[in-house]
Amino acid sequence: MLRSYLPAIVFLVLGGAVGGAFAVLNSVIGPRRATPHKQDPYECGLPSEVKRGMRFGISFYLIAMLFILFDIEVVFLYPIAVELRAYGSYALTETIVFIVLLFVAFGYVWRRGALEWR
Amino acid sequence: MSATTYGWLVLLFPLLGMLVTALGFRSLPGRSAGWIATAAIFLSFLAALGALIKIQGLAPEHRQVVSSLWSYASTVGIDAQMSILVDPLSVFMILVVTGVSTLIHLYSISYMEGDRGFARYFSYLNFFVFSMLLLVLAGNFLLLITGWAFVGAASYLLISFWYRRTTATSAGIKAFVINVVGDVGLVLGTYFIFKHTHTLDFLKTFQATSAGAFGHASNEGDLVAGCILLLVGAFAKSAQIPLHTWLPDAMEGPTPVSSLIHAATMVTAGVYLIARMHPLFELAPAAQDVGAVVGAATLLIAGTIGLAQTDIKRVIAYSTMSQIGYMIMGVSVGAYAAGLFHLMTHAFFKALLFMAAGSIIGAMAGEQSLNRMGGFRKAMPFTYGCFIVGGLALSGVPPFSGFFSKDDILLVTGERGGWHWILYVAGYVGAFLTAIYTFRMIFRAFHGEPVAEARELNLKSHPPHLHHAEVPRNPANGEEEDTDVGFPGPTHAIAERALPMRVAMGVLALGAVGAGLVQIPKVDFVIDDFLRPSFAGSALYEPHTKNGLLVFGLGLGTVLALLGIALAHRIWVVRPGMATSIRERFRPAYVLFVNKWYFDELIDMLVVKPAAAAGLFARDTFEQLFVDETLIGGTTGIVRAGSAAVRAAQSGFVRYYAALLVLGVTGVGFYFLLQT
Amino acid sequence: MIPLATAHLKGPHIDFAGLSPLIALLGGSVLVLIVGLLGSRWIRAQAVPSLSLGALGAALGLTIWQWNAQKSIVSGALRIDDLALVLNLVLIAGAACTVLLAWRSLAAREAAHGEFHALLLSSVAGMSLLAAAQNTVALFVGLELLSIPLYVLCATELKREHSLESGLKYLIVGSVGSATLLYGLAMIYGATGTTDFAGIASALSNGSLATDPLTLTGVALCVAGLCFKSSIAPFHQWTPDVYEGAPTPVTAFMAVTTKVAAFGVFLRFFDVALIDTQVSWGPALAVLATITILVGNVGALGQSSLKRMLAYSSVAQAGYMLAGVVVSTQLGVRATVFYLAAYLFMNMAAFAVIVARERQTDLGDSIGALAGLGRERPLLAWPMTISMLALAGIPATAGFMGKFYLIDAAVSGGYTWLGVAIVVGSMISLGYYLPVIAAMWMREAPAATSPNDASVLAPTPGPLPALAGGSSELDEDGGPLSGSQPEVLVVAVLAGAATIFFGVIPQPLFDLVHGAGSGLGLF
Repeated sequence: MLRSYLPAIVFLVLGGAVGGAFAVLNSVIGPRRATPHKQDPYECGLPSEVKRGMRFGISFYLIAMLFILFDIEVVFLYPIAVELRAYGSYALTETIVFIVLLFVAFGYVWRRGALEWR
Repeated sequence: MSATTYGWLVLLFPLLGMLVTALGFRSLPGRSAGWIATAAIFLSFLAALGALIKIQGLAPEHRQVVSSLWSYASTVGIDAQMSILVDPLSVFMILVVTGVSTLIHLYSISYMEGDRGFARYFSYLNFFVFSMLLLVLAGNFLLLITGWAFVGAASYLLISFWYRRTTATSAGIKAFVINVVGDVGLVLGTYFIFKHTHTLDFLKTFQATSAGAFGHASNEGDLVAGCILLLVGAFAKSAQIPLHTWLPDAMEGPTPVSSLIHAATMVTAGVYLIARMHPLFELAPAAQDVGAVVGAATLLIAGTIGLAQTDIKRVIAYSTMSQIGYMIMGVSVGAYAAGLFHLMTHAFFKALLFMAAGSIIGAMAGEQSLNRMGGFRKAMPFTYGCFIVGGLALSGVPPFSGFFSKDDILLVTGERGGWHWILYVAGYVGAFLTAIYTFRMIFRAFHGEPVAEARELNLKSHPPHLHHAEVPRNPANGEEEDTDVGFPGPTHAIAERALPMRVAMGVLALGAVGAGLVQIPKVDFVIDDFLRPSFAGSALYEPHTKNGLLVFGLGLGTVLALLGIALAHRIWVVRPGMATSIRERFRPAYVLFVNKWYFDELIDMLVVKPAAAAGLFARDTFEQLFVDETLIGGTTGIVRAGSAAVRAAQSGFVRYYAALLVLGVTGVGFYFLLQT
Repeated sequence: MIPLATAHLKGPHIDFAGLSPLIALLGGSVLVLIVGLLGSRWIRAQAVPSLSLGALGAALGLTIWQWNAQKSIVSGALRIDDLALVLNLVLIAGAACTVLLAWRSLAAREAAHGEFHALLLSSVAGMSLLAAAQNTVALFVGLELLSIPLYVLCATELKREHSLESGLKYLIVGSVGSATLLYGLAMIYGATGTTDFAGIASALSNGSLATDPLTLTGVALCVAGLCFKSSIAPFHQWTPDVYEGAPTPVTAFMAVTTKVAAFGVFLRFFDVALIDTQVSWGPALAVLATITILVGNVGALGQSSLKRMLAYSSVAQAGYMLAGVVVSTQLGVRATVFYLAAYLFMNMAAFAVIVARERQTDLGDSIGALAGLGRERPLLAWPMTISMLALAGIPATAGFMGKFYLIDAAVSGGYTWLGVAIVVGSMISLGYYLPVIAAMWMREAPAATSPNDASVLAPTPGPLPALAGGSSELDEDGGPLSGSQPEVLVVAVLAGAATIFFGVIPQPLFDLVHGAGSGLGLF
């Protein structure tokens, strides 16, 4: 059984060895001459127009994350909405519980001021 | 309330008393600690009476009641329970212990009045009573061992009570070490028994034993070994040869302590142990014989040493050893009721003697040597009367209590026949010696020319100032006493001046006179009948067949006691020079006795010196080279290096942690893959 | 797509009784979250912890109501038996102590109370789930429900760098641990084709699957993952850093309850599902236990931070408890559960004292904060003394009975040397427990102990933005933290008393854990 993994292990070892060897060789024998172009984020194309140091508002990440969370949770409602009749009252109560919990979370986020842009 | 509820109460009161006096030593006003402690023991005594009434209300075959508060551990092959056994034997013991203790607590209130450690003293004393009651009420080996060890600890604390006295502290250490030897014996003996019976409970142990846990033949190896190890415990606690040397030294403690612990109660624990374990001992006659022979040897040797000692408390201490020798011999030959009867009467008259001695020592401002006493008869009439009563009881003069109990033991011993006749004779020789040394003490302290202290008491000026040294010194070695740590110094606790002391001594004197009347041969058998349920399975219990022997024994006892008193009177009163001439004529014997048969030196040579030599070798060679440098140095070095390594690995960088995690996973993974 | 043929799909049968403790905990979690948003500061500071205690009390009552139940619920995912119920009791007791310790703490205040207690309760729910888990999915869900709130809880003292560092470290290393465990579970699933513990056991009992490399790799990864959660060396390294950095009530919570849950699942997963591979993992775990005992005890020597010392100590104790798992006998299970209960009392007493001293002095959790405590505050010094003695295994404490029981289990299970390792470990442990006692009783109190005021913590002006966890309702000036703190004292004294009580009268605890050993089908 172990034998069947042998090619994979050989592959991993070889890959690591070859990659490592090249990296080491490069840093050892490669010339090191720094030019302004080499220091650029991109070695080709136009120089960057945007000033470095500009920051996104931190609230952006927060709201984006919350959006994704609620988005995904709401998506769960679609299949149930389609087949609600088939599932009956059991699914209905489950869904209501789900929505209530969702609203609790929403209320909490709102009340804690996470949706205010600062 | 049932008998066992009373039993628990008996334990509860001294425990509470101890806690109150120990925790309240700063806030309790005046001498109230003493009264609280006394009241606690008195309540305990009342509870013991309650237990007595309840147990007598049961049918004789149901008089062994076990009560368990909780079980400590009954899971891993051990049935360790917090259980007490209330039966006639334990009720008898708690009655004696609480009764005598109450009186001695009362006595101590006056005796320790001037002491700085007053509350400490009473909390120790209550702790002692609690431990002793735990010992006698224990329903299993575990509690017995606990009580046994506690009692030793309490004894140590009280012997070293005046802890700046070097003699007191070294005496305390000696007592503790020898007691621990006994504890080890007890624990090992328990192990030998437990190995076969698989239970720690007394009654279950006895059932298992009679059901053949050790086989049905007598003298099975493990049982004999176990019983002899139990005997080692009993010998150490009861000061039997060769583990007796701590008892005379223990007289360094305050006199009421000597009275309570080293005469009336603790030292009788060995007697109780043998009586309690009689179903085991009766299957191991070899162990019984060892007990009987050692008891007889002790009673003789201690009696002869008592003849030559000059310290009044030490004389009584040797007398105690000797009397306990009778008891040990008695319970070892099957005279259970007689041995315990003697335990009770001895508790009365010996406690009384110690109290009276304490009163004289008070008058002498701490001086204990008989050489410096004399003529106290007129000055201290009450003390003298008590001493005489106690002395007559101790010597076995009818109708005082000691007469009946001692002869009861010897009668049963004689009835066993065979080689027990040697013990019988030894017992009567001992009785003769007892009468001599007891009255030697009385005549030397109370008769003859009054010494300065006695004359001062006679002056009747109010209040008479008693002579004492300006600087209190330890009479044993002349060291200056440090009165700051509790040594009372030149206080004069004299029975004639203190009502509590008189009450306590008076009650005990009544006991010493009358306690023998409860069991007069051919008349009444109170003790025999009362204890019978506890010894129901015993083949040896009090047969009483030979009337001739009985009459002969009683007569012989009376004659020997009177002869001894007469001899003492002749030597120390009528012809004062005779003692010296006898001493010169029997010089070797005198030297032997005054040096206590060289037991201290013998033990020193056989045990202490080799042990010290081995210890010296171990310290200088073995420990320095091997233990210190190799073992300890090596081990601590390894631990330290390990500690450093662990801390070095704890760099605080998550990346290293992750790396180690991966390494660990790899290691574990490899190990498991190797299993395929 | 085929439309569902039947018009009516029946909902599954739900055994609400069996789930009721979990529902109480999770419902409580939601409730405190909402209440934490309401009203005045008083409501937040008093009502929220009270509600949290109420939820724990309800869960406790429901657990006791379920007593003697022997059933599998949620189609076999969870098992309600004595083991789960006893561990539930211990967990709830630990959480209740934590609520009391955190009542006035900075951590709860900075996390606006509601969040703190909601996270706490959901973490307890995760532990409860883990202790009852009977298939690998429930196991992993429980583990994550336990861990994720804990990551956040560690970082609830927002303004203290160490608290944040602790949370982040725990998150990173903890995720690696979880991932390892998940890999292991996946491999076992791959080998046996089932997630059910009983199914795995029956699959492993047939044929050569028990020595199959895939299975064994899976077992290895599971060992590593669970060892990580219960801080077994060499997977323990997060423990000292995280314990030291986390707010002390949270440390207390982690130290006690995480162990309970982790050992609960250790017992159930290894002694039920993987019992046929015992020959493989038994010796490995025994070796790990020995290493853990040594590393924990040796590492604790010379630590000046009490929390760090207790962290190493908890590593060592985990090693002791692993002995009960290794032997896989009923006795071993009982000994482990017994020790877990004893461990709760011992550690809660110690942590309560540390919490109290952190608020009374500005020395934090350094051992110097205890100097002279014996004279100054005996009510704090005694529980700490008892706790240290019990952790070291001195007789007449619950710790002694626990160690005795574990050693008995190890010896009768054929691992005598593991018993010896426990004894040696206890011996070394005196080297760091006794200095604590010495500091309390034999050292003078430091000259000036100023109350821990806000200036020490260098507060940032104004509330932090919501992202950083701060809120506009943050109770900025909660007043000085010192002053009377009866609830901490109550925890310390009760835990200390219980340590002594169960050392002297262990029978009730023996009886309690007795059933826990019988339910797993071991001999």
